[in-house]
Amino acid sequence: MAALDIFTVVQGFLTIILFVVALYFWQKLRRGFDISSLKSMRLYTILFLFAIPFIISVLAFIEDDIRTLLQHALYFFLFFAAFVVTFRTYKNYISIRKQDLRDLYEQSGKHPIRLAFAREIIVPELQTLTRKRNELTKLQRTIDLKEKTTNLKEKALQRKEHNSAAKLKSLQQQKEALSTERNTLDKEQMVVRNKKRDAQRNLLDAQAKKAHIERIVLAIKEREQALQKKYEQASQKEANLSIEYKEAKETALKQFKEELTVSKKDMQEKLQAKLADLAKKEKTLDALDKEINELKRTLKTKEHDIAAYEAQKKAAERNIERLTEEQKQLKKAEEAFKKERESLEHTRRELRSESKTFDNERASLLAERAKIKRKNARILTIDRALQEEKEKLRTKYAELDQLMNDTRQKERELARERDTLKRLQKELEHEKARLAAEKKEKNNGNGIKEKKKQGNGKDSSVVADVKEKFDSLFEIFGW
Amino acid sequence: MVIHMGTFEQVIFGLDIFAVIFAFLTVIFMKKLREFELADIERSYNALLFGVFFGFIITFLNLIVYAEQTFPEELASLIPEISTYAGYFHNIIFLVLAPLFGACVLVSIILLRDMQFPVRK
Repeated sequence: MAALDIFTVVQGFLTIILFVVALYFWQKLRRGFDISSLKSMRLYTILFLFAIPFIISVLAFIEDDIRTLLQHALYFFLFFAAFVVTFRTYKNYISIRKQDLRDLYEQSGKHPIRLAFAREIIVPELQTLTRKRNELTKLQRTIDLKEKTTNLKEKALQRKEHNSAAKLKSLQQQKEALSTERNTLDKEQMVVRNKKRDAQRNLLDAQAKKAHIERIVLAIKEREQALQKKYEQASQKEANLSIEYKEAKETALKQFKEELTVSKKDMQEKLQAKLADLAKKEKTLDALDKEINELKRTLKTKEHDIAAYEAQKKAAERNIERLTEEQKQLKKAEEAFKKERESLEHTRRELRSESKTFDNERASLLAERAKIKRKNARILTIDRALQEEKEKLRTKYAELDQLMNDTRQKERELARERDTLKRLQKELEHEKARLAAEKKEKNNGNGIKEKKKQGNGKDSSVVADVKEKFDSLFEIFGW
Repeated sequence: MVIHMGTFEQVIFGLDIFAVIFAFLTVIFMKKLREFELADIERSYNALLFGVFFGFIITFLNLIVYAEQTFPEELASLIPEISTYAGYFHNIIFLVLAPLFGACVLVSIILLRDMQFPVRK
């Protein structure tokens, strides 16, 4: 088993341990404390179930395919359950929130804290928000102005670029025309050079032919001389033979003479032909000389042309120099344009950074807005709690009012009872006074005894009446 | 039990697609639900949200791994080294992401314990 596999298994066990520990803490928390105020309690419970796929992945006795299938199916079901729970809870709470807000909106007209809340919390926040909005609009305006100026600069630069491009184009066209001209001149120069070379070659050929003809003439002259010598020798021989063999060989001599004359004629004919040929060759030589002269003339004209071409070349070179100068100027203009473009890029970058800061500020503003929203939500929850407390207080107040009313009623009854008691006391005193007067009268006569007896009976009835009243009072007060 | 490989991988791939979708939706609705939750448990809730996000990444990487096994030729033509990457993803899931998921859940519960809930009577 590779070290990586072992490590993977160890990490799987570690995950399970982490989930189990978390579950233990969760159970402890649920048993020990009242966590019903937690709104996503079900979600917490579902998330603990995510330990099951990891436990399954560790169980080696389950077949691989079944294990993976179970794992992935569990992932699917658990995420589905988590989604359903979160969605439903969110729906419930959003509807409650809407209802609360509607209630708040409807009842807020009467609530005294509304104005104080608006004055103390919402107005300063609104002021800061409006201040920031104004700042942001100012910033936006400045950015817009900068953008406009940069756009104008960009347009001007584009125009310049366009003009310089047109100039560059015309220069390139001129350059191309010059290069074509130069090419034609080069071609012409080449043609002239070729012709010059041909003329020189022809001259050399003519000279060689002349030399050859001269050599042929010399050879013919040599042959003539040799023939002359032979003729002289033959004549000498003839003379000698004529002397020696005058008679014997007359016929032979005649024949020889005839042959000699024939050969002489032939030789003369040949010589004449050769001479005619030579004359022809001389003529051709003259023609060649003429041609050479013509060629020389054409060479001279070509040289003139070359001189003219040189002048043109110089003019073209001057043009090229001018063009190079213009190119240099263009390059300078391009560099200036590049610099301007760089400065534009720089301003653009600055603008971008400014827009970034603007975005950041906007983001911070949004974050503040979110914070304010959260604060509002908290305030709303606090308000709700306060309302609940107030309602509780109201009910308590109502209970207290009830109690007060009861006590007032009881007080009123007591006062009534007190009045009756006072009245009874007065009656008692009156009776006592009357009894004392009767006692006095008794002391004065016998008939008074009977009166006394009657008086005692009346007295006891009054005391019993008072006692009853006191008992009823005691019952009322619960003594 | 013998399961036909192509069908089996296709089934797992389909399950993973739905798991990824639901995981993503869970993360979104958890984020929305955070607004209604008690302000004091915000840290705990954030840790839980982070854990669920890791769960989402786990399912997403599982999806890539099984996509490579279901359509090996098509994906290999797009990304030639996909099989090696799939192996790496499989290792990353079990070596890093799963323990992080568990750690996030544990941290969330530990932070929840610090809250002063009323004692149950």
